[in-house]
Amino acid sequence: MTNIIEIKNFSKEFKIRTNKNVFTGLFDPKHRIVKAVDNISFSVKEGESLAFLGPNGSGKTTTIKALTGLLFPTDGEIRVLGYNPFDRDRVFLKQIGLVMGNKAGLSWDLTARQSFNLLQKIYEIPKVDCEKRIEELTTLFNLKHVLNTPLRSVSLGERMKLELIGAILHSPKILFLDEPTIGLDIISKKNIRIFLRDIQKHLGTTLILTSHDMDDVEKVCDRVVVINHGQKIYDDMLDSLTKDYRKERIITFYFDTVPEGLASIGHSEVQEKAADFITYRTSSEHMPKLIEEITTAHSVLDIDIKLIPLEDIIEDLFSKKITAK
Amino acid sequence: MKYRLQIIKTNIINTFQHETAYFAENWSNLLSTISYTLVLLLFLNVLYSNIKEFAGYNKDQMMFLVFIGQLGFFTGWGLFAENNYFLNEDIQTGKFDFILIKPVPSLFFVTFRWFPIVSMLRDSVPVILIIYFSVNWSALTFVASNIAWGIFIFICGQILWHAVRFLLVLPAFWFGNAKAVSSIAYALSETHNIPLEGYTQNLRILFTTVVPIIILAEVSGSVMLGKSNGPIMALWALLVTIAFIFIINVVWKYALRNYTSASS
Repeated sequence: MTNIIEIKNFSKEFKIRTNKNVFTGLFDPKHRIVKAVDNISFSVKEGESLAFLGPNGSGKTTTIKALTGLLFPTDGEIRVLGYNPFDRDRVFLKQIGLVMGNKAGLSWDLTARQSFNLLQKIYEIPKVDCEKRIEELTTLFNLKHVLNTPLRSVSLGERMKLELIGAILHSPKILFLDEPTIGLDIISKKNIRIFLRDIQKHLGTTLILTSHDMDDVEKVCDRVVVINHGQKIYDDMLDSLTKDYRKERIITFYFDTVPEGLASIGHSEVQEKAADFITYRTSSEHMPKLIEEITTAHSVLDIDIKLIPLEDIIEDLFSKKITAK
Repeated sequence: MKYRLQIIKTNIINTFQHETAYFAENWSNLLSTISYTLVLLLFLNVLYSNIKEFAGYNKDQMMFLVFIGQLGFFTGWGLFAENNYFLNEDIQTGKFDFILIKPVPSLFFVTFRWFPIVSMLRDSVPVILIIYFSVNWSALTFVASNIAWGIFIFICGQILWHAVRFLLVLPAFWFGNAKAVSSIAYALSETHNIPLEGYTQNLRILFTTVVPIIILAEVSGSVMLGKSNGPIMALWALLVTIAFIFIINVVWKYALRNYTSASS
């Protein structure tokens, strides 16, 4: 597959005003330069689904905005579908879509149908095709009943799904998603993840996603790029990232009251301790021994065994326990 | 061209749907504009009960100038002011992202996305009618060619007045918000009630070239009344309009490079 996105040595700096004094700031504004993204390079193949992860302020949204042509790079080269995004060529813009969980792209006072009508004109989608697509998507998301309701009167979950429909009405080749499931209920999140996976697999849509919800990443993406303080610290398949952790387990023992003196045993480390439960982190190899020791010596009410959550793996990355790739 | 007309047509329909979403607002706006007009007419009546002429304009000519000024204000304000307001708001909130992401020329879209026909008719028709019936038309003499030149200058003036207001919104790209700066345009619109002949030479140059806000009413009104040379003023208005369209395009491109896209 060919590379659909190429980023070479991309950097973005923002000038932040430091002298905010009403009088002196007028004549002597004083600025400091904040490097939001620092010399990042990576490429994305057609049809890939990539998660762009990082803590708040790490530069992931800045990178997405540069990829969509919203921000002008301070340095480096960006090519998306063979275009320089900032040139905002119409042919390029017709092939990308953007969903931002924290911003409304559709008009607040209009109904979704009225907003879709404008999008149909802007993207020059044949009217019949557009109607068919609206019908398909609103049926899929169970949104037909709110299609003619002003957006301000629909629920957050319904609005987000309508935003998603607006972003894919023109069948983009690349869909950029910035926190697409923020604030949604579990069912809505699940529907959106299934849908995204579906368009990626069946229509070959390339997905670039940022999210703080690791379930989004696990359910939608195959590859992960992690950035921190503007620098890329990891870039590989999601499976490779979690591979080493698959041998580890998080085991929680529940008691009426946690017995006194219960602590780390051999290779099993205590991760959390409360009045009625204790959580260990151990390897799958040492797990049977740990369970046997504790259940033999104490009266256990329940046991919960989990794999290491992706959140913890990413946290390890940020604290550099995992070697950067 | 066909593409742009289709976008404009859809924007007109969408604006109508927006405007009728909060219908109670319409009555408050109507009261506000009528009150302003009545106060303005009261001021002119008091003024002309004490003097015969103001900057060479008798009461009838002055009423005609006010008619042109208010016509220009309400049509221009109705067509473009809301677009500028939304542009500032969208830059401030980062919603401007959704305009830039669309395959439509951004400058064209932000200029013509909002067509408040309901507001424009609501605000302008009653006011213009009040002023129209206050003008003693039989006391005024018009020449057809002057009227034609005046209309041409009026159209150029409308574009220029929009250009000034639009340029005053663009600092939002650097500072995140330009509401206060752009309100200068509202203050400057008060110049529409001062005759061109009342300005000093330097002020005339300033307000017809650097900040070309008096071409809309003062210059067009003066030409229609036969007080200024129509063809020369029309040529001047055309040249300044072309220059400002060029300036807007250049500054717009520069502003987009400085767009920082506010985050949540």
